[in-house]
Amino acid sequence: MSPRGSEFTVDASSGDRVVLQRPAALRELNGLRAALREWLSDHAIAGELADEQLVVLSELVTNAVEGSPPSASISVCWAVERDDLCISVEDAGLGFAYEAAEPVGSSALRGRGLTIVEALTDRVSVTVQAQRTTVAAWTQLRRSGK
Amino acid sequence: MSFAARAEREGPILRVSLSGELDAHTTVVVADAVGRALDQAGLSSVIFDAGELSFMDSAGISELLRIQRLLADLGASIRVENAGPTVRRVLEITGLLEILGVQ
Repeated sequence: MSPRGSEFTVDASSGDRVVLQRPAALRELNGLRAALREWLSDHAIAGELADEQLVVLSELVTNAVEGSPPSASISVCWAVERDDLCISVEDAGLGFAYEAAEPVGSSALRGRGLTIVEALTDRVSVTVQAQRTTVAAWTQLRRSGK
Repeated sequence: MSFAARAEREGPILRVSLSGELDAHTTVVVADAVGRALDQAGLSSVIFDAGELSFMDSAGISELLRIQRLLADLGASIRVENAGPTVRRVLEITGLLEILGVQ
């Protein structure tokens, strides 16, 4: 997977923010996780916290792909904001209504993604603008006892 | 890292070794590896070895649950062995350690 230069944008104004445009396709998951893993490592974020953030990214991207038309693209961003790591993903918008994560029965086959994101992060926000849904999740990097 | 599922039948037991990253794109590999064995008679349990599984998200969980259901219909059981801390964590969050027979 070799991203073209035009698809890879680093916002020079912060130096700590990565914004990527990717096709709305599940095959992108692996490469996006690899890119985040490398970036986390460069920012001295490792171990369980890093592994958990890869799960967060995967859940958000999967949801965004499923909420986008096949030929569309999604926007993926991660950044350090003060003491928080923020991961956000914007879908291409099918205009579906976001449903907050509700307890899923043990028998349900799907619908666990956001439950996992909410458990692994400190704050989740959902913004809908022009039918495009952005889900962002923040995790405190300096946790006492972590 | 790519993903692979290798299935070996040992009498009534199907042992499936998972390696790499299991997500919504790679669950089909697990479905293929297990699907063929489910057509054969006399299966009592499927044991997933997660020792080399470096990543799993909710799509992987959904696939394991789907297989657990198919097995339950056959009167067979599922077990997940050697799960690493993060794989175990997502199973814990979703309350599925017991249902998926995580050792």
